Amino acid sequence: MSPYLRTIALLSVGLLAVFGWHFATVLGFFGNAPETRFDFFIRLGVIMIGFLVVSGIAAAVTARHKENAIMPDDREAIIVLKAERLGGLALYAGLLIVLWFAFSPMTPMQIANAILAVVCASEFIKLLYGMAIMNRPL
Amino acid sequence: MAKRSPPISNRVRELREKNGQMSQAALADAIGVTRQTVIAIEQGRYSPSLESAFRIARVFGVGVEDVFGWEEAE
Repeated sequence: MSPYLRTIALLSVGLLAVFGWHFATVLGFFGNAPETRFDFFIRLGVIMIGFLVVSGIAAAVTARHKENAIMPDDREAIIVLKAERLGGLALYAGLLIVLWFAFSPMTPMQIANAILAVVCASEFIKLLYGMAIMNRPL
Repeated sequence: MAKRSPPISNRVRELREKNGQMSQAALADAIGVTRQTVIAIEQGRYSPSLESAFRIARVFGVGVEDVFGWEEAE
């Protein structure tokens, strides 16, 4: 795996782990789940800012490793494109399912978490599919 | 259904070995791709873009048609 794809994969795994912790608190396995809109967006904001900082550091470290390592080459661009296409389809499908259930009695917090879960699922699908096609003929 | 490899053959490995055992990493650096992409090209799992094909040919000082060929289906 090239430094570029390895960085993307590690960042995705890290993001999924953080959101995994969030959903574990929502499902009551441990910790406290956000109860108000303010709590929810504070948590989301902290996660996103943390992700941006870690992404920046990862890009800088990768760039130090090799000058052109933060840009995908032809083949990697195709892999990323294919994975993003499938991830996009999963996102649309997931949002349609959430829309369906949004008409049944759901709290706004449940809907917010359902949307977040769909986004995470699409990221997970993107990651898995990208790794699956890595060594296949393109 | 598993996707078949593209019907394009290449002599990248052979030319690399003829050029003083040039490493895959050295070729990758010379044409601006990753070593993994060079491996995929050599194994026939990926057909490079026209630009990369020309770059590879230029590294070895030959024409594109001397590096890549079309394999007719039997």
